[in-house]
Amino acid sequence: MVNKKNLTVALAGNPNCGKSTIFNNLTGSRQHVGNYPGVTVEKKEGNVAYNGYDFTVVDLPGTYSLSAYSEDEAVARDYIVKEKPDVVVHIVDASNIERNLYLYTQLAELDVPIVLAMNMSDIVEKKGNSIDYDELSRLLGKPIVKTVGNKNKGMEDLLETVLKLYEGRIKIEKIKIDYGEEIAQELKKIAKLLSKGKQSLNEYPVKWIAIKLLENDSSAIDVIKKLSNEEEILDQIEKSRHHLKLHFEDDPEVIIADRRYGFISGACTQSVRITVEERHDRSDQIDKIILNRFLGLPIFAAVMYGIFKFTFTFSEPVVGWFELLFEWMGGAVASVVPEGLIQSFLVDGVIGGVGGVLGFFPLVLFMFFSIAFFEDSGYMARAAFVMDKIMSKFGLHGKSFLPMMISTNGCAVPGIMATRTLDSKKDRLITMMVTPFMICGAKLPIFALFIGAFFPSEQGANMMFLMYVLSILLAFSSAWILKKFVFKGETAHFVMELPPYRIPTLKGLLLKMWERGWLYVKKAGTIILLISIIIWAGFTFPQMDAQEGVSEESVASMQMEQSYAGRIGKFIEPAVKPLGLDWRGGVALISGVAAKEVVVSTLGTIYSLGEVDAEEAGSLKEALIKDASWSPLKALSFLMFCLIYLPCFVAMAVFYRESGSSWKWTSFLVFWTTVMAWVASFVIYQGGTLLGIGG
Amino acid sequence: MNQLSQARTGSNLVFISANGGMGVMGRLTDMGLIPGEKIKVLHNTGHGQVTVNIKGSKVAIGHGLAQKIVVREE
Repeated sequence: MVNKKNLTVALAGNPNCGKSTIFNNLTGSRQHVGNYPGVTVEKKEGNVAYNGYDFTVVDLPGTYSLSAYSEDEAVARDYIVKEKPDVVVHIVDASNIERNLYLYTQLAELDVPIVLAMNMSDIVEKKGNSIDYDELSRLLGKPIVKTVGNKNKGMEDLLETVLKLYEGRIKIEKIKIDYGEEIAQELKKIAKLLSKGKQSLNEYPVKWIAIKLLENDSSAIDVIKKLSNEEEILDQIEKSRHHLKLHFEDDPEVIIADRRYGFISGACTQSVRITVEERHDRSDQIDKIILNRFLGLPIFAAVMYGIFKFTFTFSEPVVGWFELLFEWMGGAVASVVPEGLIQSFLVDGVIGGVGGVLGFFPLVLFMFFSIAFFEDSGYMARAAFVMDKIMSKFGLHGKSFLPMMISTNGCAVPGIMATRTLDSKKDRLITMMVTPFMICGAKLPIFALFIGAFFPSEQGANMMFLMYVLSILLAFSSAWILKKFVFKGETAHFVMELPPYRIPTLKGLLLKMWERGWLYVKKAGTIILLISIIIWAGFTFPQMDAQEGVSEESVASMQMEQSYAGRIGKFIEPAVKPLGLDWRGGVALISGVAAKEVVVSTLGTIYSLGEVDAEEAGSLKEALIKDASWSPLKALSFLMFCLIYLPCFVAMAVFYRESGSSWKWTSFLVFWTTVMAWVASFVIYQGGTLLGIGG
Repeated sequence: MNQLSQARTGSNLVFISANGGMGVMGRLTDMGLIPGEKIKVLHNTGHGQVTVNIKGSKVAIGHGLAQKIVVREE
């Protein structure tokens, strides 16, 4: 088909309402996540063709309301108001209808075209309730579609209804929430001032801003800051809020919320029939154990250990095949391309660099899969709750656990972005500061490589687990120090919905795994490829001529030492020498700032360049084992430095932006992590040497 | 009038108010907790952390917040 018409649909809804399942059903594999760097919002978009239209589906962050308590809510609301999607689909967990419709009362007041998707409608019936959807649709003034996301039911119906609304074949009606005479009077006064002189309200409806102002919403106050009669409006808000407080003996925002819930409850009494009293469901039974005061933490630790065990055990053979594949590729290229600069570029630069990183791709995928499993099953929310008590002792919030978890084996970039769910600015900054300490998917190859090379394989998984424990201890103690000396004050309160336990769908898990895994491959194919080439060039030039009477091996090593990169390494060697490292480790660490995977690819390039015969080049692991200048203690010191030192460029850029473009905090982060890394490695190496361990 | 943190597992309560400033109350109303709302304590871990049923969904409340939520027996 040519010239398909485009249609933008935004999906809104509470967290845990099944929004992402519907998004996946609709768009399948045709989805992408907006690039992390540079873009302020992580925006999930996908496409679906239907009836001659190309639908662009946008998955908004899950929110309970459109207030501005957290940035997710501000993002969702700004998108709807400013980008003006053609249709907003509000996805409602029909088995929990009243709470879910609270968001609807605010969406509807934005005067946008809405289709309501009553999701999980099968559970409603299972619970013994029944909903008269026609009646509910009439009361809410919007078309309703029944869906069952995890069984892929109702999707076509949903698209059809969206299309009908878009083409004007069905009409929607505005709803009017009765706020009562007192509030209506005050709203009128504020609205009158807002409409004065036809000023811009950033495209928000006047009435909506008026209500939000009465609720004392901070971002609504930002909107009126540019108005010429700002003083007058602020004055009126003050008066109105004071008046209502006296009248109701409660805050206006509480009364407004009460009226909204009143509206919903009115609609639900007329359309929802509860036939069976709710009994204890299975989730409650499971929670009795999972959240138990004695069992909660041991279960948490067991789950984490299980994730590592699963990942490393099952990925090990696959990682081995990948290594063989890249070795074979190197050999094959070397046998076809004649010896010289081009061969060296392809074998040492491209395959040696990128291959070293991509070799760990299966491991990363396994890890993403198991994390997605625990996320989708509902355990992660419990883990945050179980951890809250401990986290709060260290000045962190239970929710800080989620960004740290995402960063662990994932990436600190989405981790730092996930701190947006934290309400308090201080909690956010602390969490952002400690999130990069976690062992991300890019640091993972460094650990896997060195542990594989220098520690017996039966201890591998345990060593790895120890590293994770260390990273957590590090993050916690840093948080405690930051809270004690830098960000003083109370930690925000913990309140979080616990979704019912569900068996994750394989499709959902695979999509999540792939979405995160693909970022890894993309990075390897772009940034890391580029840096690998630069590093290869750094070690290859200036070229040395072969000299009489000198063996090929020593030419190769002299070449490297006198290359540009080698000179840089020699220059910083004094700084890393006390840590037991030589210039090669130094260069690897410096290049790792670009992206942590590059630590491995740099070593890959150094060692494969050092090989005289390209066809003979074995895996990097073997090369490290053969190199006598390394020892288990030095490896540990190196790993410790990698664990702590400054985050990669992309993470720093995101940190800078998310910290409110603060140079102060960004430079603090750089200084803090580098000093800590150096001290920790120093203590390990010098202490170990003194005690004569693993020298 | 009691603190939610001291509520027994299984008790049926009525939410009265929360002390702790604007943000706290706003978050709670978003989750469906408005004055007069009936809630059921599903689980009190004994550390003052509770899970409650609010409008049919399960909400976990940390110990600090649970101390600030005022409830009465239904």
